[in-house]
Amino acid sequence: MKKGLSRRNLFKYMGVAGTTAVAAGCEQKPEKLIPLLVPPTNFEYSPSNAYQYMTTCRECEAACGMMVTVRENRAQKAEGNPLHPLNQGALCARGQASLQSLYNPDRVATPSGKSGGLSWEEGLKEFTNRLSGSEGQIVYLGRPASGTDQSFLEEWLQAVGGRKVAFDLLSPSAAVAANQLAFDSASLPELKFERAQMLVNFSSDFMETWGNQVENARRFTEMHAYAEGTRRPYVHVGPHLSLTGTKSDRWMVIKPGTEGLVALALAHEVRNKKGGFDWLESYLAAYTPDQVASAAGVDAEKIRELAEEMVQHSPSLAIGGGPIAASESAMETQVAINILNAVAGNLNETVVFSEASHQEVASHQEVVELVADLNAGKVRVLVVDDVNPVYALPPELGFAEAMSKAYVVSLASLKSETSHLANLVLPALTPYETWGDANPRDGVWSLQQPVMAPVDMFDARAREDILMTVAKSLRRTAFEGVENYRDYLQQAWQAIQTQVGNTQLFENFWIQALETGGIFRASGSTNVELSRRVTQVSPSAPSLDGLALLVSPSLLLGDGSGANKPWLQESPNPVSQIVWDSWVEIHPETAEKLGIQDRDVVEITTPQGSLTATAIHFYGVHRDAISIPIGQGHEHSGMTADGFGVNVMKLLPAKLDASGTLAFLSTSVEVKGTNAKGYTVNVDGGPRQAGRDIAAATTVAALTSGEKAKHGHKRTTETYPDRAETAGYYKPYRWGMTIDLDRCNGCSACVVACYAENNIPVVGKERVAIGREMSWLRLERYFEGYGDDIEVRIVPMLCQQCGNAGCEPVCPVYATYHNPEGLNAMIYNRCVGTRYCSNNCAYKVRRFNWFSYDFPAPLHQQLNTSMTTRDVGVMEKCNFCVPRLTAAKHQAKALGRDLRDGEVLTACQQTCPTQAITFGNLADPNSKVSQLAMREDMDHRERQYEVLPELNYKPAVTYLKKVNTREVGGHTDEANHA
Amino acid sequence: MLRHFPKALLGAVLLGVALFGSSGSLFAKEQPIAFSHQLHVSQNGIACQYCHLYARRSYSSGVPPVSTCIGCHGPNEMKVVQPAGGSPELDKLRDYWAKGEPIPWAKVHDIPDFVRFPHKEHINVDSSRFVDEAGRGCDMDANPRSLECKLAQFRAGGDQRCQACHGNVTQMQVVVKVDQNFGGMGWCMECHLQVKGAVERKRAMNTLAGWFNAKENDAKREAAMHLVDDNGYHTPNMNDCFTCHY
Repeated sequence: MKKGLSRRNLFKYMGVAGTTAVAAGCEQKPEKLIPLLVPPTNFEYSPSNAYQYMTTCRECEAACGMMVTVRENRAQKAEGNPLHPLNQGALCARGQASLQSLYNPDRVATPSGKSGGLSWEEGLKEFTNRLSGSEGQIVYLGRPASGTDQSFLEEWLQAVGGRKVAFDLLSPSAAVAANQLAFDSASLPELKFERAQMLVNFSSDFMETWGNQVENARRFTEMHAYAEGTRRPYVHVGPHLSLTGTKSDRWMVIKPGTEGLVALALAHEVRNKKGGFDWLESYLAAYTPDQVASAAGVDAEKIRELAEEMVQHSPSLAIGGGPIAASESAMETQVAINILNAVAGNLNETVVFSEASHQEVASHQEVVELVADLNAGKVRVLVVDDVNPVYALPPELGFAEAMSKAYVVSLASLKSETSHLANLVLPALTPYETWGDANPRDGVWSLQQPVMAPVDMFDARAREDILMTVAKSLRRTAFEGVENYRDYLQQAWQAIQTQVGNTQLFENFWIQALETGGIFRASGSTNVELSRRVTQVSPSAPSLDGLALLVSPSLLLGDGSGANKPWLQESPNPVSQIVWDSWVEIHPETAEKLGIQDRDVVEITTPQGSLTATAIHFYGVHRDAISIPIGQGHEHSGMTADGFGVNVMKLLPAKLDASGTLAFLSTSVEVKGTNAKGYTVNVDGGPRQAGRDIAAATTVAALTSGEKAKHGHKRTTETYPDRAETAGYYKPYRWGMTIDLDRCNGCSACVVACYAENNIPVVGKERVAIGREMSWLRLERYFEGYGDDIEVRIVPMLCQQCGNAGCEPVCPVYATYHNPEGLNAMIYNRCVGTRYCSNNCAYKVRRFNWFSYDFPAPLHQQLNTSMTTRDVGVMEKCNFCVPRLTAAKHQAKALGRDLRDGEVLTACQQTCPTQAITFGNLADPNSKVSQLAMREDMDHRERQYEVLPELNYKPAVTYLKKVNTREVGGHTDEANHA
Repeated sequence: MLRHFPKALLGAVLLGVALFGSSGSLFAKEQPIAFSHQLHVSQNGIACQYCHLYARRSYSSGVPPVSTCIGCHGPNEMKVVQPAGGSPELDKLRDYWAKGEPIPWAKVHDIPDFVRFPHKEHINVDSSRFVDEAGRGCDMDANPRSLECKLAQFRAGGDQRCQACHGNVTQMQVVVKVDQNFGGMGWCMECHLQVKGAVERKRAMNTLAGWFNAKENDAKREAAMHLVDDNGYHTPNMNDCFTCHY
């Protein structure tokens, strides 16, 4: 007999002990129930119920209406205000991500001076002391003011004795100056895309950062989407294809900076054909297609063809602008486009001016003057409000050095390079927490209200209240009778009430305005005509030797202010599919000449500086140019911005055009390859579809010739009956979706909306690099064709909610199954993380939680409380916004009826500016989604198809093919390069 | 035999610790204030939803805000409801109020975080969706926590309905869980399988059985499932995981 424990017994006892440990581990500490101290009583409040507040998005100058979903007094989701005339319920990616300015961990928490933290009393005292005695030497540098802010700032500057300089990197000042010159109207017109028979776009990124991109995208799609056998064409004229250009039917490749010349050549031809404007004849004679052809690097015949097309499609619409076209003659280019619009008969038809302009326009000229004043010691106090010129302006302009000569007070909600250099930083509240308004267009007064109490981690105050407090302590008479900015705003709105002829009690008017998000009236219009002054203007091609540097605006990061928002960093650029980085686009032929491989690190040098970044081969950039996006390369803007990518503005010279707009296109670059491979991370598997027809397209000719779609389920003999034929399934709902690829422009708003709605964690560059990104909805991008004949197709890919899914039968624990409403349900608490389902999913839409991801405080306050957060080891994927479905079903149940069509909008559908996504009940033959998907009428389908139908997964998502006006070459060559 | 005793003892002790540890919830949890439901509900006739004010409106029933307590038991200058000579428990309450701190009650009825339980749907739902036999044969005195009695209480509605799940809180000095398996899925499904058609739905949908000979039995099966109520409203499916887990 052995002494002591035998091996056998040891394991026996260990077993018991193990059980003990497990059992003890299971015992939970009692959770706490923390009640409210005093419940909110002035309005209906229930925990976990959602309330919506109308306000205004302030991410860019477009001022879209926003509807914020608030649960338990926390803003959790931003959506477009459906009542707002500009965006009509949609919101862009940056608008969706505006929640991350509110909950950004890198918000400025306390007032601080150069020597350290200050109390508010000390900070305000310091501010006041600096201002007093500096009259006439105070400059306020802020965003272009809109609405009541304009008069408020005027009053403030009067009280303290200062002047204002507006700053907006992507300012439309060249267009405004050109409109003043051509039409005597220093404003931006309303562009009526939907009235145009044809769109000619000169390099503007009108669906990215140019103008109100949400409104532009909606109205453009109204014009461009295929309907009733025709489509109205969109021709992109320019040296670069950004996302906007990829939506074009034809791309006319011209040399950088020659947009104005081509516009005048078109005007010449159009005028010859249409007649009129005799006084322009001699002026335009200098711009015949033949004369322009060599400068623009385009065939004269092509210009004539385009002109002919414009004459046939009347009224057309010519637009242009943005950084790609912003050469030193940016203003002249805009005048040329104005001339083209005038001779083509578009003026007052598709280009409509209103009587009054209410939007301040920033001019870079003023900033240059400010720099001179600072250097001359004429400015003692510089108040920088929510702008970041230190980062955004070319260093050659010398803003940072000039700024150090004055005492800089920064009112900042978020950290930035500018606030980093400031002498005094006063934390400001975000637009989610403060009052304000905007007047983006004649007749549109958009109100901004605080949707929640300020985030408690930050000791911030409303910027207007800070300014008011200081002014009051300087001057007794300043802002008399007004306690705070809300009072001031209400006073201003009393005037608006009179203006719109509303005779109600003001309180009622005010509440009504808060409920609808503002006051919306039809915009007035005024006819303008082309001034003869335009003949003084002569656009010229920039003289750039070698490769021109094209600075492309960033869809997601804007002018760089989006870089500190994790969602925007993690959402791939839809064209390059790159995340968390900058890149250099170079034409493959040019790259070959220079010996630069795809993904090589290259050194870009201009006289102003040099930087290194990864080159990617891209047919969408002119052979004599390279393109680098704006927005990355931050140094002091917070943890998700700093150290990613490069700041292209560092390469630019400090040149302005005649209107005082920064000339983005004014330098050529030297590109030198290095031996290193770049560490850029892109989420696409490859640039080509390899014949799979995931993003399918057809042509107008094919559709009108009676040819029917080749796609659709093949009816095969099946072992098991379809679920639709099984008792209990799809009664009354079979949730399904259609996505119209002809309407989708790849703006990525849906991707960010999905992140926001579903508590999807952001994993960072390193993990995206190994395929661990968590996005439930991604935009797949495929290239068709080669050279200038390139076509870009973008297809939103999400869980297809298959009726015969691949993921379900391989799950060993029944964590995923087909639910009676046609959803491919994913039950997190059953999931054991085998990842079999993901391996068996043909659409690759399932995401696995390799870690428990952090939502650094206070980002966790944004988490949607109606949606579970997932933990390590769990699979997750799109569920067609099942919390929204459940909430809507509860409401319908209270009414004793079923859900009706259109009562549930998924987050992606809700925010789509072009209404490409339709969600609804496929079991109801009258629902919009059924009629679009045409599942019961396969033989008469035109554009409908399911992705990978040969697998017989029976997806619930039906795509509608993109419609081209041409056949794109290169289908047969499926070589794996872009 | 005896030489195994120390090891057996070790095992027994460990097992005992395990059982004791895991069954801690058998006993009442320590609360910051000795609040008596019996006193408030039974003796003073306050309805459940006077304090748990969100039960019919929200997922959460709502713990009463401290201001609700203070409404009756306010600081001394107000009209105060309290036993003669004061009460140390009420002093604690006023302390919390004076400090502006919420009372950190310990949660007794806790369901896992991956379950979405809407109080409002249970408070507002029409109990006619139960099968007709549900709740018959309840003997409240003999076995108040039998399934029949829970169903009968649910059917009775009002404050009785709360007791179907939470037990007779009205008589509790200290709130305890009366059903040890409270919050378990089996415990939920006990009642939910008493909904008309629930058993048939479970059989048809959660197994492959529904797939075979589906066609010919369709109408019969669907009638048994009670998919549609008399007004044409499609009743929700309680056997679908997505009903509560998403």
